[in-house]
Amino acid sequence: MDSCGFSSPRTECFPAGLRVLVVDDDPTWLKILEKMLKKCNYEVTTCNLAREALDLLRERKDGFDIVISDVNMPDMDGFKLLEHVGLEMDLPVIMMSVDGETSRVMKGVQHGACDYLLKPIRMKELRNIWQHVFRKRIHEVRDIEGHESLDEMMLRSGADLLDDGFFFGGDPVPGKKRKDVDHRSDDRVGGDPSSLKKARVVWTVELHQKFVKAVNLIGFEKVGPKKILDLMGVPWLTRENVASHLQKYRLYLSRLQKENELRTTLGGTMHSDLSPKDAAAGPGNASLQTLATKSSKQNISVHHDDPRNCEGIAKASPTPMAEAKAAEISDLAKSSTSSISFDRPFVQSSDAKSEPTIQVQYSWSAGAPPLQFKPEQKPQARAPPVGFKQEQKPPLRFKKEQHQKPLFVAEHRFDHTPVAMHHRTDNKTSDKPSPAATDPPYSKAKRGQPSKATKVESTAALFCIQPESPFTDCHTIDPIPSSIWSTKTSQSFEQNLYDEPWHINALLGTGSALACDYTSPYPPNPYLGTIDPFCFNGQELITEVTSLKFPLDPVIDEGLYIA
Amino acid sequence: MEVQLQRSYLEYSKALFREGVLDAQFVELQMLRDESNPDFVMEVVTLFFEDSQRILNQLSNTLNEQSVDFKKVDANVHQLKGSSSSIGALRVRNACIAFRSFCDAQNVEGCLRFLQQIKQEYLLVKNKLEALLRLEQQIVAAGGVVPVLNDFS
Repeated sequence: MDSCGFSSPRTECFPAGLRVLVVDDDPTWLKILEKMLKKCNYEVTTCNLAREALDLLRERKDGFDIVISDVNMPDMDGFKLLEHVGLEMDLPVIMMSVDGETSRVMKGVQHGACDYLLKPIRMKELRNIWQHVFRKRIHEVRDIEGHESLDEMMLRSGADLLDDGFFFGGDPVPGKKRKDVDHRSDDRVGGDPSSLKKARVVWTVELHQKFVKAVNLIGFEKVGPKKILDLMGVPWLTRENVASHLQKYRLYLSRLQKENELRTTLGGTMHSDLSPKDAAAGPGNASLQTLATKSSKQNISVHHDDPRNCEGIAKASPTPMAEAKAAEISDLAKSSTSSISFDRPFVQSSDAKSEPTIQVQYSWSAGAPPLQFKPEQKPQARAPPVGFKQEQKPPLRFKKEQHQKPLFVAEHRFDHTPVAMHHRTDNKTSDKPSPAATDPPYSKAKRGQPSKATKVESTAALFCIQPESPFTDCHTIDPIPSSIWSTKTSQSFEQNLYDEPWHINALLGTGSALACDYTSPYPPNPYLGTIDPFCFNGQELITEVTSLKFPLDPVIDEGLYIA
Repeated sequence: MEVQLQRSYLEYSKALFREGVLDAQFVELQMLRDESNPDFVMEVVTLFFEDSQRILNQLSNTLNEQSVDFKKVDANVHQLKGSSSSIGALRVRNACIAFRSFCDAQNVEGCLRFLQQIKQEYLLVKNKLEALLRLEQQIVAAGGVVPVLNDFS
């Protein structure tokens, strides 16, 4: 075989030596694929059971570059496997099937597949699978804020790369700082992704929570990998890791937002559409779906295996969240349970219900408070955006909003939610600083405030941050807030709402509507978990919020206001 | 001598392609054969036979049950479809596709009847492949080189 060591940087031979894991229950295909891949000079491992494949992947965390899997397998649905891999390991996954129906292919893409091959597969199709690996690496690097990372990488692997004249194939990557690398004109084969590859970090729930906490502390607006890294205090983590994760988080938030929007459009019930989806996925799985959507975005590896996928999912691109959220909202609306079952992925919260991470427990059932937030841009006087106003069908509100920001934020513990919620609704308290202004009604979300059970509220508040759309809808939350949120604090919420910049906005930051519908499973849990998502100190938030313009789109635009 | 064998081989395979018993995928398989693995095609084909037999048996059993589980039937047919596509057993594959409609209609009678059809196609391709591979062996035994197939010929 090629001389490139498999475990060593394949600087000189990429894509040769690419480590591929093939999963297929059909023995004939398994043999054929193995042979074909070997002919491409790839390092092949075969597996005829999905479970085995997962175990193998988990065992050798960094042992594979790409996974190719069949869709129909006896022990586990290929899509499920796909989700797991995307979440946990963040590896590119290629699906294959003899069935080429558009709906199936669509499903594959939605679940995060980076490609879908139809059987019979020809060798030429396999030859180029390395592009998915490479692309992912490039994006990871590129996503890193501050291009220093590229420099760092260059420095790190600089010797190798430079010597070989490899590096990101002339990508206009942040390579401005490429030091003496001007090999751009050189071989554009692209640097050996392996050398560019950052150590694959497993973003566990705890780690993610630290991350979110740090982000919240810093303030979404001002967030930056270096700052986050410093705050997190995790010695082995690199700036690159954080930057990349930050990017994903942002995407996740924006995805949530989209979902929220989707939810709102679904009409109160929002989730009816989504939830089933999620439901189907099953706890955690649901999120996968949403996550799948994010497939387009980076795959944030969620390390959760368990239903707390939410966390993982949350990480996934924000979009999933949006969906998740939407789903959740609907769920919430439906379920009278207090837990906000945001999208499945986050659903954890619903599942977890009391999961620490996702506080989201909004009793959406009431009316999906989250939705409420959105509509109202101005938290003013609306009842806590959290709108759990169950009566009101918050989801509806969302419709108005266009964006529902990923509520993730809300999810975090909505304990304080009351605050958040009220924030929006702020209607009462006038604390609402001009809704447009930053003040995401939720900002009050005072996370800190242990809203009474209002978890939901907070989330709601969070979400309500509808960008652009005036939270008018959120206002509707008013009625709910009390009901939803632990009701008691509604009053307090209001106060709180304005006191602190709604972190949620920040959280939702991703520009997506801070959908109150925190339904997005994402963020709430992972981030919220132990972290006080809304650690934002009111002050900080406010400032930031302003820029965010809570429930305004701008907020979202502002960037991920990662709570 | 091997020239004759080779010619027979080519003609035989041409007929198979023409009749749709095998398709281009089989040619792909042939191309995968190399020095390190000269029996590759034989191994793959053997695997296919074993797997297909297993699936066909399962299909029979499922269809003969008191209350037929059509989901299972569908899954089995899907499996067979996939594995027949691996070696290019075109007719078997097409038969599987057609079978699906009986399955969707939950027509047990129709399914059973069609299952016979599938079995026939399978046996056909099995025999043909075995003959083809035998020819290959003869060519190699005679010191010749197995000609590269071309399904468009």
